[in-house]
Amino acid sequence: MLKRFFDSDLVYSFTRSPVTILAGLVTVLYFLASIFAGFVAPHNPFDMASLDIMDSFIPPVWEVDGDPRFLLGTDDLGRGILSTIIHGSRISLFIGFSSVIFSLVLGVGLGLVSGFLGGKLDAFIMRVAEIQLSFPAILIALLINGVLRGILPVGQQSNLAYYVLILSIGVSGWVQYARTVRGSTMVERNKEYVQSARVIGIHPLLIMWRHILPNVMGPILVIATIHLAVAVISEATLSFLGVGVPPTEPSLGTLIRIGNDFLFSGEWWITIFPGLALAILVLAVNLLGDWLRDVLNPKLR
Amino acid sequence: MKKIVATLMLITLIGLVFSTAQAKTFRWAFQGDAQSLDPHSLNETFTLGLLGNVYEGLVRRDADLKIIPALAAEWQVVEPTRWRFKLRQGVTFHNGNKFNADDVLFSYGRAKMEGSDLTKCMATVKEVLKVDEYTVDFVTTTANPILTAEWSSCYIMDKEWSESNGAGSPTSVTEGKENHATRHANGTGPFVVVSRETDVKTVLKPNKHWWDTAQHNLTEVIFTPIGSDATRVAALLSGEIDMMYPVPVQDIQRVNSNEGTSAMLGPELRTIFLGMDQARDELLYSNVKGKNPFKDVRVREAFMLGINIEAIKKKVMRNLSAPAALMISPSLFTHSGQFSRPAYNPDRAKELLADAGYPEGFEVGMDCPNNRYVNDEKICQAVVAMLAKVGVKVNLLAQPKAQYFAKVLRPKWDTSFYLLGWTPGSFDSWNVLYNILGGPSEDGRGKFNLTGYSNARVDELTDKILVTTDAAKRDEMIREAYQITVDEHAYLPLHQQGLAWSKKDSVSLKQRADNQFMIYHVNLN
Repeated sequence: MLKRFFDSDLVYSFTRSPVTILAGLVTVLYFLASIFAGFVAPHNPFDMASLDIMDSFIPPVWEVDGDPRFLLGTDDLGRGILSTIIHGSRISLFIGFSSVIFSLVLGVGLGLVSGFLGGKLDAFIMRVAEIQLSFPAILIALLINGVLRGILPVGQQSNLAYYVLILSIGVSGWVQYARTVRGSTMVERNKEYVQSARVIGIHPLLIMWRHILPNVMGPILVIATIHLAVAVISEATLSFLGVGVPPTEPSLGTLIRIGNDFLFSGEWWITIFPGLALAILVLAVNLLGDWLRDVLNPKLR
Repeated sequence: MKKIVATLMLITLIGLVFSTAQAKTFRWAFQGDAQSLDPHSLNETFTLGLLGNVYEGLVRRDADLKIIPALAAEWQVVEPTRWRFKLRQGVTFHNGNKFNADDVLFSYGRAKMEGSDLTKCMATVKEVLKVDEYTVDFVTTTANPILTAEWSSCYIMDKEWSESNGAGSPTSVTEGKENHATRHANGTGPFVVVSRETDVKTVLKPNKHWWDTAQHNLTEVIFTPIGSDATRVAALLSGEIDMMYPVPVQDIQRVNSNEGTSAMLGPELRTIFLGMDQARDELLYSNVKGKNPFKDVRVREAFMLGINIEAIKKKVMRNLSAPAALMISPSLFTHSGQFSRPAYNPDRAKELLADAGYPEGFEVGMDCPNNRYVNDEKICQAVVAMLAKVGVKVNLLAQPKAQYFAKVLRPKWDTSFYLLGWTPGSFDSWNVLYNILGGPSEDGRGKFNLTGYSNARVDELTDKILVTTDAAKRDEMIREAYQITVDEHAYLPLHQQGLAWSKKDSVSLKQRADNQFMIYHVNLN
């Protein structure tokens, strides 16, 4: 089994591409650091009691006033930048991942139904998808975010901020999944194996789930990988605009926003390092996505 | 042919230069917008300050904050409880209506109505009487030597205009209601509102028929609220705007080192403080059920000792603040020197909390504006971190001032722990004792006392202070009242923030210590 995996095309092309190996390493590093943030980070930036405001605005360790306790310096509240980046990446990745899964479930479900059943339902779902496609995704996310925040009671907004973000980014991204799955489903549903499954009376839902879904999973994986990068960026954008996660538990976008206020006054490290962290993460995930697309695309072989 | 083109271009160029020399458009920015154009909707410095360029009261303040005549040409105290005001004749509102005694009666009556946030204008006033077309008598319940001190922001509206547009009564900002006067203005002041988009842009142009001689040379004024600190600084540095305030404290150096712009610094009269709800039997946002920890003076003292104000001064305010012991600026009360702020002592704070029955601390929600005062949200965040060190978990809700004021102010009064700033409109302690430290009651006392703190002796002194004219006796009573509130830790004063404005060097203007910006002092060179 393991041997089959290592002999596969996937692994072969992975080992042949140094860029992909690097991107993969970086991504794995981010994931590990995020999962074990509590152990990896030098201190816990969310523990208000451990913060001392006299530690604020300390530059990175290699600058004149640097402090060895804070490798990348501190922000305006005295939180270590390195620790906040690690914890912030965790929040960014959690929200990104969750919204990708949300989009995926919604998009694949609607795509399968749409492609398999066809007719009026298909037309309806696809028109909705097209209308949504005509707006930039971030606009949709902002809209849903705004509406949800309007509905929620003021006191609950920061508690539910994660879920609001996941929902708004998730809903803004389902269209691509749906369209891809619908296309593949329409091809598959006329093939003999599906028709024979129908003839022996298997329930349509079961046919979609057991027979068609496995055959359309390849492209979905590619979209999901690239979508992860998009979702992380969307979260950062929303947080940067101030409608994302609250500043007491900052994600990368919130960190960049906080630091933005101090760019003119020369405290560059507050915004630059989170910005770099975000850029590297997104680049790495994107490179992985590109590679996956090339490998799984039979036309490019 | 080339020559002709060149000449033509030169002519257009000269024309352009000439026309820009003629049109003096002044662009400026603040961190938020005025809540309403209705002069009775909200008693807030920026809102009233902006409106002070459009509306006028019977009196106004000059650049040194001295009370000078405005719509009242002169006045005298006929008897201790009766003031007679001679109104200025020949003044018209922006729509051409004549200004007369009826407008004064209407405006002061409106200030007293439900929904008005400026009931202070009618404090101690029993009735307003029209003597003739240009004479008005104010009859007060008691002798009130500082009657006009509160009045520079009691603006006069046009009776006919207000009533015919359905704005006969004010709408309360805190309830989110609007009427015609919320977005339109018709005053007698030096500037006319040309257009207004809330939170986007407000355009003013000079009032050609202003009764006073204009000291400015502007032809148009464009105000844009810019919430983001960095964006506001960038707008000034790039020359997009001519003036803005407040300058983020961390950027003062940058603004000064940039060629052509500079910061104007000065002490402000506003006191920033924290309030703790001592009225409710159970806090609104807390894990303590069935009782209110803030009712215990030890808890309030612990909060006072647990906040390291010097650290806030150094790190959050970058030394642009003066830590406060009293609820009034030291420059407004002669005996301030007798009060000093207790030093930061987190260990003692923990002991006090343990004595009060909270050895593990407790949890409380905090309300904070994020675009009202200098670094308001950052001060709150620092407070949250400092109180965490003594065991109190504070859940911070920082909001733009529109939502913030609507939530914490009466009638909603939905807060347990909040940050607010106060400048006494009369620059006198009575205003603080009456509005902030007075026990809340129906007649307007304690209108902005959101803690519900109430002390009969303080209220008694406050009433005496109002009618006492002997300065020494008066100051002694004020001192006694402050002493009581300090001993009881009624509030948690933080500091007086510094004024930080900035402008292009080509702009000349006057900076008032009450942080109101009067555009009629602006000149563009």
